[in-house]
Amino acid sequence: MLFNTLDFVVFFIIALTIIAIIKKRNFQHIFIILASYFFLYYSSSYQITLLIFTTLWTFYLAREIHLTSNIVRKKQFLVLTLGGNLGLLGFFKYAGFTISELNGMLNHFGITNIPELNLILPIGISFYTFHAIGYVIDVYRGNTQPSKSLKEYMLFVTFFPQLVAGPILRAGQFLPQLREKVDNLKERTKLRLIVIESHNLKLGLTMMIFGFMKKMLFADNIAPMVNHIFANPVGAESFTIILGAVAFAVQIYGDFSGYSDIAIGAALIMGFKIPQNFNKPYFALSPADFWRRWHISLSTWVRDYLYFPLVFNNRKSDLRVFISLMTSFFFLGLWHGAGLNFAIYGILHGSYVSIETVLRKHSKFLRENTFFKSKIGKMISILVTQYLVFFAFIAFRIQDLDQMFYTMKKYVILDFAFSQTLYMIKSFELPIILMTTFIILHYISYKKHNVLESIANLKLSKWFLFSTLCILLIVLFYGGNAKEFIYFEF
Amino acid sequence: MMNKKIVISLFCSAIIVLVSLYAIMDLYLYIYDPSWRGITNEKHTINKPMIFIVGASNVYSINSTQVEKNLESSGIEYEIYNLADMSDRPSHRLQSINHLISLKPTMVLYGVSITDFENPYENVLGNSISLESKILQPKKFFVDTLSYFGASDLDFKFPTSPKDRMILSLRYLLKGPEFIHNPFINYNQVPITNKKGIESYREGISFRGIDSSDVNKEKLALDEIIKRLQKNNIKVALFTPPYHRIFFDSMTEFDDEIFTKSLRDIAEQNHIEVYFLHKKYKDMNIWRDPYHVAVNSTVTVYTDDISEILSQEIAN
Repeated sequence: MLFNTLDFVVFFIIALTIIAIIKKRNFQHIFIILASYFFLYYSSSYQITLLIFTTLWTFYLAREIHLTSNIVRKKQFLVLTLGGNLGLLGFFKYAGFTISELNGMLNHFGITNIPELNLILPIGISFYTFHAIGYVIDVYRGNTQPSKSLKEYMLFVTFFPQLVAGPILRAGQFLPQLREKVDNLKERTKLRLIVIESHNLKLGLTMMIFGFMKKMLFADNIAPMVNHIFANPVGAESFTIILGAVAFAVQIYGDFSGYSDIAIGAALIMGFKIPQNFNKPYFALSPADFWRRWHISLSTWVRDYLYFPLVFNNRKSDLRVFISLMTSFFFLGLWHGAGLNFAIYGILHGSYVSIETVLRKHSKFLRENTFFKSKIGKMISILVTQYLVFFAFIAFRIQDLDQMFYTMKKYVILDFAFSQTLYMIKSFELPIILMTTFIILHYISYKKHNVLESIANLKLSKWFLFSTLCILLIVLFYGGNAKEFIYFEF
Repeated sequence: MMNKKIVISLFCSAIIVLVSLYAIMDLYLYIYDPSWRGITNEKHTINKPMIFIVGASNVYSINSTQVEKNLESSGIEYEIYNLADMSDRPSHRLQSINHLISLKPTMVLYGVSITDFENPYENVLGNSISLESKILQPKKFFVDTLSYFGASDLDFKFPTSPKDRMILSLRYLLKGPEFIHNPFINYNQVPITNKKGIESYREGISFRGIDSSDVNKEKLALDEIIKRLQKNNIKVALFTPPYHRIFFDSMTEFDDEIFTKSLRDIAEQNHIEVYFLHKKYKDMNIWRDPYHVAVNSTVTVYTDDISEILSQEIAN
C-alpha cells in the first residue's frame, strides 16, 4: 500500500480508531500485526508468504542460537538463518540479473541461453530481510536478548509504517518499546498499552504532513523534469546535466526522506519511536559525513554488520580499511538493485569514503587546518562533497551504461553551452520554482534545529492554519496519479 | 480531550481543503470568457457569432480552428470554441450551464458519450469478480467496493490532475487560455498509437451496460440542458463521439441499441438533430487510445465530419 494514496489514509484512520478502542494491550498488539500483514498483502498479494517465512525462520533459529551454548552449533544456526534470508533475497532480487548477465557471456561462446525467470521483486523484501538479519546477528553476538514471544518478533519485523521502505529497524531499538516496566511483576515487564498521546499525535501528524509535502509536492512535481533530462541524455549540455543531477538529488531526497517522515510520524502517533533516517544530507562536509546523514539506518546497518566484521581489529592497515570500505559500499550499492549502475554507485561512494579516510589519517593538514572549520572552508567542503554526491547520483539514475558515461563526462568536462539549459528552465517553470523553494527550506531546517518540534508545539489554532495550508498545497499540486516511492523498487 | 481537538482541527482542515479543491477544479467553467486574454492583455473583441462544441475529453480532439476554416471556405463566418472538458457529463455541465448561456453562443453542439448513460456502480447487481480474484487482487477489490458505495462520484468529480487544473486556472487568469479555441484541455499534438498499443488497453476496458431507466440522471440532465439552451434562443444539436472497436467489444449490441434509442427520443422530444459518429471510425488508424482520437495533424476526418454537421445545422 502506498502512503500517498487515499487507500492508506482510510487504512490508517481505521487502524488508529481500532487501536484506540481496544483496551486490552494483548489484542492491540495482535491487531497491529494483522493490520501490518494486511498492509503488505494489499499490494503484494500472495508474496506475503515470503514475509511469513522470513519471520518464522528467523524467530525460531534465533531462539536456538540463544539457547545453545555450543559455539559451533551457534555458528551453524547463524549460517542457516543467514542462508535462508539471503538466499530468498538473492533469488528474488538478483537471480534475474545474474542469468541475463550470464546469458550475455555465454552467447559469446555460442552456448544455449539459460531460461529467464521473469520474477516480480516482492515489495519490501530488502527491508524486512535486513531487519531479520540484523536481529539474528545481534542475538548471536549477544547484543540483544531474543524476542520474548513470536508475537513481539512479528510486530518488530512487520510493523507497517516501516515495513516496505524502512527505516531499517534494529531489534534493540524496537523490541524494548513493546514492553513497559512493572516492578511488582516477576518478569519485571509486560506488554505496553498503546495510548495515543496528544503530543505524539500532533508531532506525528506534523511529520506525516511534511513527509507528504516532500513526496507529493516536491519530489513528484520535480520528477517530470528529471525524467525529461535523463530519458535520453546523449546530446545534452553540461549545465542541463548538472541541472538534472541537482533536480534528481532534490527528487530522491524528497521522495525517500518524505517516506521516512511519514513512517516515523505514523509510528510516533502509536507511541513508537523510530530513529531518524536523514539529517540534512546536502549539508554534509565530506563523503563520510554524507553517509552519517543519508539513509542512516542502511549506512549504520552496513557499518555494523558488514564493515566492522570485514575490517576486524585491523584498522591500522590502510589496505584492509580500503578493501573493507570498498566491499561494504559495493554491497550497499547493489542492495539498491540488481544492476551495474548500482554497483558503480556503490564503488564511487566507496572510493570517496576510503580516499577520505586514508587522507585524513595521514594528512595533518586536512585534520587540523582551521580553514576547514571556517565558514568559507565549510561552504567549500559542502560544495565539493555535493558535487561528488551528485556525480554518483548519475550512476544511480541512469541504467544504460553508454548514456551514464556520456552524462558523467559532460558533468565533469563542462562545455559552457547554455541554450538548451535556458530552454529547459523555461519549459519546466514549476519544477524549477519547487527546486529553489526546497533548497531554501532545506537551508532553513539546517540553520534552525527542531523545526518540526517548533511547528508541532504551536498553539492549536496556528497549527491548524499551518497544516491546512500544507495539505492544501499538497492537494492542489497533486498530479492525479499516486506515484510510487523510488525506494519501493528496492 | 486534547486529542479530540487535534482530530477535529484536522477534520476541519480536510473539509476546507476539499471545498477549496472542489471550487478550483471547476473554477474556470464558471469564469470562462472567450474574449478574455489575461490580466495584462486587452480583451479580444468578438465580432462573429459563436458556436460552442461541448462534451467530454473524447470531443477535445476536434480542431475548432480547422472547423472555423472549413466553414469559412463555404462562406459561413463563425467563431468556433471547443469547450470539451475532462470526464464531463451532462449532470456536471448542467451546473455551469447558466454561465455558458450568459456567453450568448448562437449554437451548441453537444457530444453525448455512450459512457454518459452507463450504469452507475451501485446499479450493477451482484459482483462478477470471483472469490479467487478477490483474494489475489485485494486492492482491486477495495477500489471496486469503494466505487460500489458511491466513491465513483469522487473519481468523476476529480477526474484529472488537480495540479493541471490549478495551473490552467492560474494561467487563464494571468495570461488567458493557452489554446484559445480549446481552452479547457491542452491541445498538444500526440502520436497515433499503433494497433498493438491500442490492443494493450483491451484488458482495462469494462462496460457496465446502459442505464435505460427513466430516472437516469444523465439523461434528465441532458434534457434539461437542451431545454434551457433553447429557452435562451440557442440552437442545439447532438452528436455521439467516436470509440475504437475494442471498446465496442466490451459492450453488447443491445446496449448500443438502447443508447441510440434513448438519444433519438431526447432529440425528437426537443425537436433537434442527433448525429451518430460513435461507430464511424472504429476501425481507422487514428486513435490515441480506445476512447480518444489522436490530436494529430494527419487526423482530419473527425474535424471534417463536425464541420459538415455544423454547416448542415446552420443551413437548416
